[in-house]
Amino acid sequence: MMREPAISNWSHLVHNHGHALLRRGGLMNLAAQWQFIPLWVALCYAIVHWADVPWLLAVAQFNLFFALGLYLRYRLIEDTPTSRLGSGAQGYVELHGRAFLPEGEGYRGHPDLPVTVWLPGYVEDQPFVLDDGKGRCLLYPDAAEILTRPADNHLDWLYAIYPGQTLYVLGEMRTLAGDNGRLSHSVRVSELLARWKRRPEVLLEAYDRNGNGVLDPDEWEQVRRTAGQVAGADAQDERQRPGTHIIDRSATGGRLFLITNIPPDELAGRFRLAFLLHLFVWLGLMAWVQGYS
Amino acid sequence: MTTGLLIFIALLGGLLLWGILLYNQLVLLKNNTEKAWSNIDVLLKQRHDELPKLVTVCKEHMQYERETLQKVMEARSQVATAMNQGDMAALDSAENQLRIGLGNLFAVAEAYPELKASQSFLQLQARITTLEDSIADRREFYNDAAAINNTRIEQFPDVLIAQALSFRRFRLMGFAANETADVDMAAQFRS
Repeated sequence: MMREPAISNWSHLVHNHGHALLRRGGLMNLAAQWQFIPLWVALCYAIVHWADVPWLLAVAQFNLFFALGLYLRYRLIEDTPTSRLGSGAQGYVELHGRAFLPEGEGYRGHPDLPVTVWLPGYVEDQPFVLDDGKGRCLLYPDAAEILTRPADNHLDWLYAIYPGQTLYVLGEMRTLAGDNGRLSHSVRVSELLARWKRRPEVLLEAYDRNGNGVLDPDEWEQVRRTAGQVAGADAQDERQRPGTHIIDRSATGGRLFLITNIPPDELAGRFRLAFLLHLFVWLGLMAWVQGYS
Repeated sequence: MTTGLLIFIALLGGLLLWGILLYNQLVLLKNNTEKAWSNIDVLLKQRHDELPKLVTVCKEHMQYERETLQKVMEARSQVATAMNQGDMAALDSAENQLRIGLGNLFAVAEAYPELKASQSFLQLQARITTLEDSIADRREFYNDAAAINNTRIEQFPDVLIAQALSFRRFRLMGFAANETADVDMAAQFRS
């Protein structure tokens, strides 16, 4: 039987957690929750009660705003092609994979809770890894909208992302390649020679064939040839090394960067339904105001 | 200002915002597809640069396979020409030729132990195989992006904006018959 973790500062945890969930989920996600309906009904009731019915026109425009935002999100989920991390197609893509802590990091999260890669209110901005089995992508969640639901474990109140959990990500992916062509061959050779020159005793031992204690021109030419071969092999190695895929703040370009542990079909369905509701409320409120006047 | 006029303005504004949203989405889909195409372009260029190195290494050991090597180089130049001209049909055909040529080359290489033992050959073979796998992946990604774009510009109400502002369809990259055909298991056992 699983033991409930001993949490010493419950109120602090719950306050941080709830606040961060609202902040990181974004306004549009809030407008797509069923809890939003009673809130909105109460707002309309208060306006009718304290002000007058025509003021509902202002409320209706917020419904239009939510309807358009939710439709945009629904279409982005439906219309964005899936990139596989093995080949790492660049651009605005959707990714499917599992969350993991970055290499070398053994624990992250609240000390009284299980290991998490993202825990609202505690570990919100540190990057974590998405692995699709063929490749990995580093996600920097500080610029992301993060929608979570409790995992299928005993902590059914905790909205977090755990290691190994399946994620869906939308965002602008780019790859920091091992070799972006930033160094020409001659620059590589120069840097290599400069590094070797810092240890002249090693150079003399390897290339001073006549043992006169200095490198003669022909011996120096041999050093240069070797440096050229080593630089060429290094460049080749770098080209073949897989690059590091990332999605971060600089790559979003103002577009939605979404990380979620909710299946995309379900999320798209939720956004679509909420879009239709807000659209009908927009039209309904305007019809009510028209009828009233 | 009467309530009726306010409602009329709100409806008109909503419609306008809706149109702008749809237009921006169609632009996004077009850009996604173009970006997906440039994703393939990058890898084709990398493969274009690697193939001569492979052929040079092979030439040192495969004196009697000039025709095989020639076919690979011809297909390589056809791919480059098709890419430069943006001719998708020619690219499909040239890509198919190149895949067949490379398949033959690697098969023939089995008969040359010295070549198989060459570190350069093994490195280039691994590099080109990896590139081929990535090209196949990105071709699928491009086809996804193009299919989404093509569907959206034919759907209502997007079609109104797409036709008024001349959004175009993107041609899908075809798959060679040998990639989609059922595997002939009997033939596999016979060989």
